[in-house]
Amino acid sequence: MIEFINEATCTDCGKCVEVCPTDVFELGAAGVPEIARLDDCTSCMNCELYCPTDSIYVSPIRTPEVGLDKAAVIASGILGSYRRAMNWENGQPPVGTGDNWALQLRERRGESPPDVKGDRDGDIRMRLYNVRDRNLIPVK
Amino acid sequence: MTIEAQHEVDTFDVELEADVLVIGGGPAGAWAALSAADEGASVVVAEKGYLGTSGPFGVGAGTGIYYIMPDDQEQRDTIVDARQPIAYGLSDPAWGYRVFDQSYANLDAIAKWGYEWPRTPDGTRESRGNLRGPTIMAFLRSILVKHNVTILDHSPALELLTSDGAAAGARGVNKQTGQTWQVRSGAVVITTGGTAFLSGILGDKTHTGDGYLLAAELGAEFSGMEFTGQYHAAPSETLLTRGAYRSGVGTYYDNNGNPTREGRQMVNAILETGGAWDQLDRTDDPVVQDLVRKTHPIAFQYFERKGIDPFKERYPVSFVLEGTMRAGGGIAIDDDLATSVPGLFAGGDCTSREKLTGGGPPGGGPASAWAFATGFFAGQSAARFASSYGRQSATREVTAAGRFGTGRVTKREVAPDEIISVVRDEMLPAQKNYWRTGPGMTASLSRFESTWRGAIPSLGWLAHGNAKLTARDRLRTREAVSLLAAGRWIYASALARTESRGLHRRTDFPSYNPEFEGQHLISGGLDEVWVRKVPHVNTLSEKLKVA
Repeated sequence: MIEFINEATCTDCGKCVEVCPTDVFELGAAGVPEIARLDDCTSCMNCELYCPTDSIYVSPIRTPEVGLDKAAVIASGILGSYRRAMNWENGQPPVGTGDNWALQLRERRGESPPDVKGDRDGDIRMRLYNVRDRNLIPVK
Repeated sequence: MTIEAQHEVDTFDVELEADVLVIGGGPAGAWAALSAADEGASVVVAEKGYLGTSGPFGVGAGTGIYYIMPDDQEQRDTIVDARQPIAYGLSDPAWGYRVFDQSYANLDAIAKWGYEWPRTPDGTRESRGNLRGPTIMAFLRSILVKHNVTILDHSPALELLTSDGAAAGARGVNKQTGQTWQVRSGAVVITTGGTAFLSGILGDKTHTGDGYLLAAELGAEFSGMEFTGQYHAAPSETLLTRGAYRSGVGTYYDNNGNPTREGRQMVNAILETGGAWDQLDRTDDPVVQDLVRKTHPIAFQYFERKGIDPFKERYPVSFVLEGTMRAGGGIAIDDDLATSVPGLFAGGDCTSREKLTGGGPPGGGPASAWAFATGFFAGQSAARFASSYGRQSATREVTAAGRFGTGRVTKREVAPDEIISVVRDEMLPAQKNYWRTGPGMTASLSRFESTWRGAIPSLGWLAHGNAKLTARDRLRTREAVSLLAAGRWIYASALARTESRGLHRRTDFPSYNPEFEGQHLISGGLDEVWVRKVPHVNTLSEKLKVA
């Protein structure tokens, strides 16, 4: 669940209000977004992703954190970590995934042929192994 | 308690006309809008949340998608054949080729629009098989805007419009402004996703089966609602029912420290030993660990923010219902993605996916492909249907089709949240819905029936001091009806299928029953729920043979 908005860096741009799928925020009197409906938060972290100034912290657990030290969380530098991991900048997505970690992982791990002895689905598992790289599309 | 005149004034804050109205703005809805626009239709998408962030796809950081290569017969046959043994005799292989060919075409279109797919480290080849949900949805949103599609965010549809028995648009509210809206259209596509009955998985809070109710009120039917006993492990306290991040590197353990497997073993481990655990202990290669971390950002935010090192320590997992958000049952559709209601089409997770994955699990890769492809087909069919009306579609007489919870009341004896909590009580526990029994489901159904008869016919929404609260009340009221209706179709179908098959498991009938071999269960009804058996036919394969 969303824990807090860092008022010190929030620019009141209203993007979090716009993109929240469950309408957790409300624009307060001075145009500052407020967490108005905490129970509706699904921890999807999209407000973090779209926030241009890394001013939002969402906890990955479904219930409010007990005794969370806001100042310590801000000081830890974790705000914006999801956005960075997704390669978003200033509230904007990359045009593409922005990395090839999944393909590097595929190459690093490699894969040896499956042991299909006595496996009733052995034939199809072996066929899947044989075509495993054939959905890679040559770059023009 | 009286239901007042349903629509005191038939005027709306926002009134629009379109050839095609798409209800639901996830991947299926986005593709429906794009294909309809490509056919020359004017299109409005009404999304309950925000087109780009809603639902399980908009929040998933990494979702696989299947596709088949146009010119590699061995790859094509292998990918399609691999699904057949776990479809339990209820899929049509021709649909496999059709869906995975279309997902390839959609992914290729995305590349042509400028999206850069990840390349192999040597730079010679690219993979389109792994999607970053929020990133790709933001991209698709920008393409929709370029195609002049009108997007209504935060705008749940509350009821359909009908004209001479055909779907003719919808009415709803805007959750953020409290405004009311009406869209009159030549055809309607429902792409509202499945439901997990608010079990607490990623993206589930917008997914309350709303499209089922909209469709059922016009007489649409459902198929495979018994194939819905889908659960998945998630780190306890989280919503992360995702397996990809731990695939090949994790080991599940029961509460006594003995290895266990996802699925039946894990349910029993939790029920019998009191808990289950996970650890990513199958690799000690730091490079692999680092790449696993980077490949699955949303899962690893949990570990980082909770200070857990999943490679070195065990963390507790729960087993959580995913329901039709990840299982095959849903609105029955034909080969053109038409429902049994004229002008009403459907695509994505709200439809029955049996044509592709039968009674088994659609998984992530096939399910994404299904959303991309069937959304595309449904939009195309809807545009063609609407074009047969020409300009008439916007001027014909329409009436509102909502039958339950659409009227205003001055007081309520049963609150929508109380109805929802009855449904969750019966749908969420693994003892009731993972392992099903005849007596257990009979008891659940009898509770659903008495709740329906006692509360639903007189249920309505309350007007509040501000329009926004009223809009939310109207939505919550409809969500309660939708969830209860979905629960009734699921258990009525599951009770009728006296066997275990795929995602339907009965402890009182643990094996296949030959009576149900190759038989679908079609269900429907709101006042009275009904279920009937219909033999499976490979409709598309047959058609292609003739052609």
